[in-house]
Amino acid sequence: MAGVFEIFPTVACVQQSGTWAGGLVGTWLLRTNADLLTAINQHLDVNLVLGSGKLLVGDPSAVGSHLVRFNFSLTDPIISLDGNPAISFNDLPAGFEVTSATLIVASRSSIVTAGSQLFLQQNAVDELLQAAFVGGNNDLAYQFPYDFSGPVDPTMLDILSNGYGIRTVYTGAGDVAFFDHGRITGTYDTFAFTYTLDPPDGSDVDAGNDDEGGNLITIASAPGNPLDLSHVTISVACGPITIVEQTASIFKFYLPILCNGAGPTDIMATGDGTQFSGSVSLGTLNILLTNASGIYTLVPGKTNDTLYSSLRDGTTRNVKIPNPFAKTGFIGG
Amino acid sequence: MLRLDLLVAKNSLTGELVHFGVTRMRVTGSGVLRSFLHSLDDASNQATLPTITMQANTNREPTILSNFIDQYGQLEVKTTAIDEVFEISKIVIFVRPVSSGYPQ
Repeated sequence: MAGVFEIFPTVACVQQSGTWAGGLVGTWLLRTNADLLTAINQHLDVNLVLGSGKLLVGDPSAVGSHLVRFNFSLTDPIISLDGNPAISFNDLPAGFEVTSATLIVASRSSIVTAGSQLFLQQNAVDELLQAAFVGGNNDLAYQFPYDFSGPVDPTMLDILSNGYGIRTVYTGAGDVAFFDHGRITGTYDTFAFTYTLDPPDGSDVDAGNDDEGGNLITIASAPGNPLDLSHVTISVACGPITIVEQTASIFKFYLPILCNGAGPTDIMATGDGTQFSGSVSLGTLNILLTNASGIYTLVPGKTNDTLYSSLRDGTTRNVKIPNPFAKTGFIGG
Repeated sequence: MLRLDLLVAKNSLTGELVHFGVTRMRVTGSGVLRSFLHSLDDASNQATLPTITMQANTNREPTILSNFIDQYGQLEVKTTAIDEVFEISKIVIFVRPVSSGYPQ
């Protein structure tokens, strides 16, 4: 499933150098990081903007570099898919992958001297010189597309973790420029990755390590669109697993003894953003009672056996009577 | 719960090869009854017969076909899932001699 996304609003202002302010044009009393954050997230009030340079008479000369950097978060609902209400990174659908993205900052005005420059930054290293300062209101004035032509595409995790920045380099003492509506827009798709689960989905398994009689669980990449198991975290709700082997093509583990008698349990895979983000179930295994015991009593009409956990915690589990059968004698000619 | 009412086996010592073609049972219960034919010691011959989906009340004795040839055969019936039960009150196995014995 493909679509478009937008990351907005920005969550934090983490750095400013030079002269910046957020607030009403002509007033410029708001200069904390929080004020700058409020300003960059505006786009409906043309009088509430992010400004840089010699904003007030008392400000120092604007000549030189001015930098502000902003961050996103993985837990705040700031990602809107296809115009729907925003969700967090952790709530992205399984198999989510960014296919294109562009950092966009709006211009609300600028008065600069020839030779002054404006850069957008995608991270602390990569910045793009903008063609020119835009003199008036333009919601799409400044853009910096992310590079998807290299061997490794940026992921949503990369985009959110790196944040973005605006750097102005003024040549005139009185240069000023005003911005707002910083956001990232782009396209996405969702992908399915292939793998196998052994024992297969729905199987009965025992918890515990090998010494405890537990079953070794193996997840393997499968041909087609192989799941890269070196970039996932495997977990179960009932306790921490014991990893035996983890490579790009194989993941072997034991279920913790804590899971004894847990019944149907999802084997969850959480992506680190390389192939996918978020969590998805790879299958469900039925965790039996290990070393179960019971006192056998004949109960009229009872069609199953009830096992009691040897841990004496009151846990019971109904299991089938082991394949009741009848046999005739041998019949011959 | 397992319950056995009967099962009468007819043994013979002539050793002729016999074709087991039809098995008919009076069976009630719930779940799926799985049937098998075994040779002596399961040495070289075993047949898996079609299953019977059991009902608690029925007026029918289902017939299942087989194609099993040996000197002796043993019918096994069982269930494999939780809460499946069966109650058999009659088994009829139709056989026909096909040869006098195995070659020397």
